[in-house]
Amino acid sequence: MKIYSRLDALLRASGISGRENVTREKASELIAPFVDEIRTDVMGNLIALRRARVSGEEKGASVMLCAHMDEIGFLVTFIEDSGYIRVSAVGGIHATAAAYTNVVSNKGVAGLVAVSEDKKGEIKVEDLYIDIGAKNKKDAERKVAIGDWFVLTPSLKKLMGKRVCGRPLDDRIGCAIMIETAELLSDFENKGDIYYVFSVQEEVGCRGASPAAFGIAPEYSICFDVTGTGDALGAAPMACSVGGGAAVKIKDRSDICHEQVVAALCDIAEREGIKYQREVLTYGGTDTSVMQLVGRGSRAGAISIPTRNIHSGVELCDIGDAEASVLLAAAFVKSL
Amino acid sequence: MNINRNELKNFIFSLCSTMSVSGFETRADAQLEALARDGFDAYECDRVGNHIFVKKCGKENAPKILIDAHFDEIGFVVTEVCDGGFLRICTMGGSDPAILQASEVIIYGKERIRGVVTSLPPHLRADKDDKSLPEIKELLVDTGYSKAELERIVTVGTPVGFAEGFCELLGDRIAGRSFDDKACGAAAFWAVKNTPAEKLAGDVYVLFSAYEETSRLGGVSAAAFGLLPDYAMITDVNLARVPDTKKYETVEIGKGVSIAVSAATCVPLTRATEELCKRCGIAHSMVAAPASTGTNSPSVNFTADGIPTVDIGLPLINMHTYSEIISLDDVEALCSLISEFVCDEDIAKEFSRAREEEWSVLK
Repeated sequence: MKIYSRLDALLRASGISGRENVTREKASELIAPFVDEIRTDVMGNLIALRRARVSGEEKGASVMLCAHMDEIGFLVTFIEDSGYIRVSAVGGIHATAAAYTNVVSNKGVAGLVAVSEDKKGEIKVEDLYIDIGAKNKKDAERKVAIGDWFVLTPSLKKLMGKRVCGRPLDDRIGCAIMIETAELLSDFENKGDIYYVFSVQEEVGCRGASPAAFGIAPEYSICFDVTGTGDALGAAPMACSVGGGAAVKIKDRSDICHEQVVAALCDIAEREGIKYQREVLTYGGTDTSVMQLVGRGSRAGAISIPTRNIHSGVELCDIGDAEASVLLAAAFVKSL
Repeated sequence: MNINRNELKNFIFSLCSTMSVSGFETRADAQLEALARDGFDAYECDRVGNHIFVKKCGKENAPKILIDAHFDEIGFVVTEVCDGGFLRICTMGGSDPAILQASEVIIYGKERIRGVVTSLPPHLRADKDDKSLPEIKELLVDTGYSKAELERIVTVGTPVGFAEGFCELLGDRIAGRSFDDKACGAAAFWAVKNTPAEKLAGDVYVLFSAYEETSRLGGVSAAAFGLLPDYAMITDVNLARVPDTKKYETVEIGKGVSIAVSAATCVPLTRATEELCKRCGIAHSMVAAPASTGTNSPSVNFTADGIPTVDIGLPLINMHTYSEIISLDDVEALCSLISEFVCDEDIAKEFSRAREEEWSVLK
């Protein structure tokens, strides 16, 4: 599989929630060889469709696979006379993780995240500002305007074994898995329509997947996203670990997956010998929640990729888990 | 309507004994389908896990009337199988931590087994004056099994519910688990089943909806969108008054149903329902639920192009515990109201979608 190279290409195409156009172009280019049609809806969701290979009575259930392509970041709100840039968080910025790291703007301007020097105790997002090396406000305004955005500088590094680290794995790893799944299914005689949706604005409240799922009205839906683990030092107890296999979601704070979808995913994994684990996340949320309930609803499930240090510049996951996720997703779609 | 109280009470106990922890509602589909054969024309468990019972009136172009009660109940799921036969669990919906310690639970794995939530006696607490309650993640379920035996029966994700157990108190009161909201479900099912089809003002859809306790929208939103009823009644339990509770936040138990006056429900349908209660002598009280009802009502009222919705409450004491208390007088009032509501031709006429769109022409 080419998960690593696809992930590498996708995570360098930055796009915060609401500004996903560069990411969308990259995702579109990568999935195009494996689908019949591609369109972008009014929200900016990229919807790729592989049509059913049969028609009429024989036609089977439709399925929507979904991974979000937006990432968290900073939106420029104000430029100080000194040339420092004030920002507002888009999505769940982890202030401690963002402090003292490199950032880059949508126009390619490099900067760093500094912390107010009089700050004592826990760092909050309001204490952060961006320094692009400008001499003063006028100098800064040559490179940055109100409404521009910054992200922590994208990176991807190989660690020991099949582990990789960088950002944003959340959720370009899901996007890479979906593209890989599309390749695996590109010679399959599918009975139902298969939709691959790269959703927008997940990090600000699952706003993109909702209208996409409403328009598609699939019978089944599967979300690919990162999940927390219980295997880091000091982590809350959770029976989910990096390298433990694809995580079949049972619940998180935003949704409880359809019991039959959970059972089907686990049965398939057992039968096909795909490494998997059962995931109960007591916090967090994914696009699964909106795909499940929008319109007439769908039988919704999720395959998660166990990830450490989520929303930091050093998110860590195991490519082996991602490969297992691809095999599981493809086998599930074939079973419909 | 003519109500056999004993029969109704036993039906409530039976329905409330059924496991329906939020997210696991579909496990009851065979049982509910069998139930539907007597008195209903059709049954469906939809994609989301909502159970829908249909009773047709036999008339053409009849309006669709939705009566909703959520079928899911609060409970837990297993998050980890631990050494020594203990289970770690997390909540599905809002359980009060004050009642968890030492409570008896049922674990719905490959087999149904019993367990007890752990409790640390005051004698053993490090700080004997510490009156704070432990969080659920600090508690375990003790099953008495070995870890190996337990792993055969239970996995991460297995649902856990409070043990069943019902008790008849003095007068018209009964106590037990998950009356929230299956007591309303039982009333809705029972009332529609026992109302003759030829009397119905429209086709009636009794909805046992999923995910009310755990999702902001609730499974009801998908069902309401799919069915597109002409108008709807949401039935859910309401906080009943006990000594020391604030009067303006609670309703009186044993004095009939409550009707919510809220910005999140349909004002004309609420007024029509109040009139109906007065006309038929059904005990009721009006309660204010200013911005929202805290029930499925907003999810239905604001679905599609809007579905006129009225919110009806059944007073309940000890909400979200295994000893919820309700009044059978109130349940009977609810049954009567539902039966009158689905037969009322005036409401059907006023709220039917089939009526002409009435635009005001501005010159």
